Amino acid sequence: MNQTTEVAAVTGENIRKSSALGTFLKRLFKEKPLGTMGGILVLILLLAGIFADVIAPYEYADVHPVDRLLPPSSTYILGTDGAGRDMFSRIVYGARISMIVGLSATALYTVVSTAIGLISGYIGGKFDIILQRFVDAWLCFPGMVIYLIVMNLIGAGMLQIILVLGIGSGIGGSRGARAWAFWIKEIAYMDAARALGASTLRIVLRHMLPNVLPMVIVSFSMAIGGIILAEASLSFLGFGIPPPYPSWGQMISGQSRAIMERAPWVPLWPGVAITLTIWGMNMFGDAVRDLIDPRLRGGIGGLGSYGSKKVAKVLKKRDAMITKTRRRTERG
Amino acid sequence: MFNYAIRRILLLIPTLLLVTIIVFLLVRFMPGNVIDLMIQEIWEGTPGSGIQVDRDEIMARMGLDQPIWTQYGRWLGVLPTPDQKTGESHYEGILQGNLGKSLRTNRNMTDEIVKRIPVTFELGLLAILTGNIIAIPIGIYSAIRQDTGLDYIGRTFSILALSVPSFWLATMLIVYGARDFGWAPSVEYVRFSENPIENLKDMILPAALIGMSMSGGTMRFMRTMTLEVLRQDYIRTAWAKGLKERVIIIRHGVRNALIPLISLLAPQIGLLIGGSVIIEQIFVIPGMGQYLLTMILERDYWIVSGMNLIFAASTMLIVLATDLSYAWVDPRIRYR
Repeated sequence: MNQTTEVAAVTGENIRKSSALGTFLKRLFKEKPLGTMGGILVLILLLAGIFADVIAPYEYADVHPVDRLLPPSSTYILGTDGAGRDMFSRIVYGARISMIVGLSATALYTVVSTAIGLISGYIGGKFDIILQRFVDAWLCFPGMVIYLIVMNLIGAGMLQIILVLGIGSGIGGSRGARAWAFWIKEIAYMDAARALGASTLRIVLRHMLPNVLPMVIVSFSMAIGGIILAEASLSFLGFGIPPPYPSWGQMISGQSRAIMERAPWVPLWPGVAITLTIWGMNMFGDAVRDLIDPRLRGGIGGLGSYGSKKVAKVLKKRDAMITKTRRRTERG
Repeated sequence: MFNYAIRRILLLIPTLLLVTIIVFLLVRFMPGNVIDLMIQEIWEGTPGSGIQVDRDEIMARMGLDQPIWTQYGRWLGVLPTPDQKTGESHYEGILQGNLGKSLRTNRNMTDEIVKRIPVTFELGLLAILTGNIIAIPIGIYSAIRQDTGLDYIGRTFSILALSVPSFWLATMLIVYGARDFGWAPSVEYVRFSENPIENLKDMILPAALIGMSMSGGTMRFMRTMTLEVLRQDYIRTAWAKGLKERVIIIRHGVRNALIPLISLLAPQIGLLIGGSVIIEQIFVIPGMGQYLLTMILERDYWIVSGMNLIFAASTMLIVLATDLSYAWVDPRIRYR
């Protein structure tokens, strides 16, 4: 227990320090080439979303009736769709929508899951048992089905989809945060806080939350890919972002089959954009988890534990040698 | 073990009760008055109904004027529902096997729902088979050749499987299939009992697409588990005994690494049902998912509730079966 506490403390401290970001980036770049690629992709998308007005040559709803279904050319880099709208502009504006929905729904997911999990785990006892039966029951429902029903009831829209995805997945995600609460509850400084007469709210906010921050960051980065995919799926089925706005999922289903057969680039680009986004998010999320989750891989996880990197290298070399020798002996 | 099984089954009852409450409230207590929406859409959609719609009368006919717990009791089947014409009361709820009455036609749609269960079941089974047949060997291979080129390819592939949306891949297959190969998925659904070969021909591609979205997770899980097992002491002992690599990997490693895979089944079911909603829609397969989507769009909420309950209950049973088989397969696990 003591060791874990130490690692968590070190990690938490490093995240608050301004140089921690530098350390993180340095390690990301050095140790996680795929994670770096994912991070760069995510960065590009973020920038595309923020500067969509500058990057996109046309408005996303600009209709050019003469230029319908044009293949990619120098005027329209990615071609045009059935209404003569520039695909590239729509993809760029689509990045903005994906980023807004992805970031805010995942933020909501993190808040909801952490709040429910920490409180349920900290209070424990009967409260925990009853609350967990609700979470159990909620987890029995396939997410997609719930999202479809609720989106149909409250109507399509950006705010709606953020709320539904954030809260809906947050309830299920509270399991993880509950486990952290059980783990952190046993640590001595929690007893100290209780002995000083701190209120439950104060203990949760001031003592538990800062210490689970690394895990919160990890859970955020692991969840965002799935949430963006859920938004795309819902929009594909017509339950997500309503048509004038260029949501990638909706762009794939928004054209008739005959149009798509004539102009396959219309459904092609949004799908490529979704795939790259989620791939980038997943790779980056994995790297974030490997680098900052203190519970992972013994000493090798955790920011700032530079020495263990060397250890890992040595171990890897040793393993490789052992395997080599093994194969050689087997052969002859 | 026996006591554990009994306790788990007993714990199922409160959870199941909560599930029915969630299913009921989800539809009944949503913002943007469901009843008004239903009335508006249903009466607008019925041709030749120039009659003034009396909201109270409809509410009474549907039994929606009753207090919420009476409605819940009737829907569940623990309270009798009075017949409008004869005035007699019958128990006709979930407990009596009535999954939902159509608000439009007032007909019991249980048969329609039950007819579709085997279709989605077959799709799901095929999806699990295709997904895992690819994923498990790749995961194991990735682990035993950790950090080699092939491991990187396997890992990239698994992340890609997680990242490519199945609905997009399905759309692209249909678009390019029609464009370049003159191929199109068949519109007419053939039942397995009628013509198994034709049926499988139509089902295998949609199943593989759902399987793909599950295989990414399985691959990663399998790789982690194999790596974990290969670090165990008994593996070192096996090496020390001079056993062949193949024997060590298959008999000592993989067999132990496969056990935790059982626990992956439960989250896969959720993906499966969500995936079937989308894929059945694209490939025009008359399964549960397609019907659910149609009923949601038609706002026939009692049927949606019934189907939702089936999904939730089957997920619960699978989770239970998973936990029990886990205890049965792995003697190291002890239960209080």
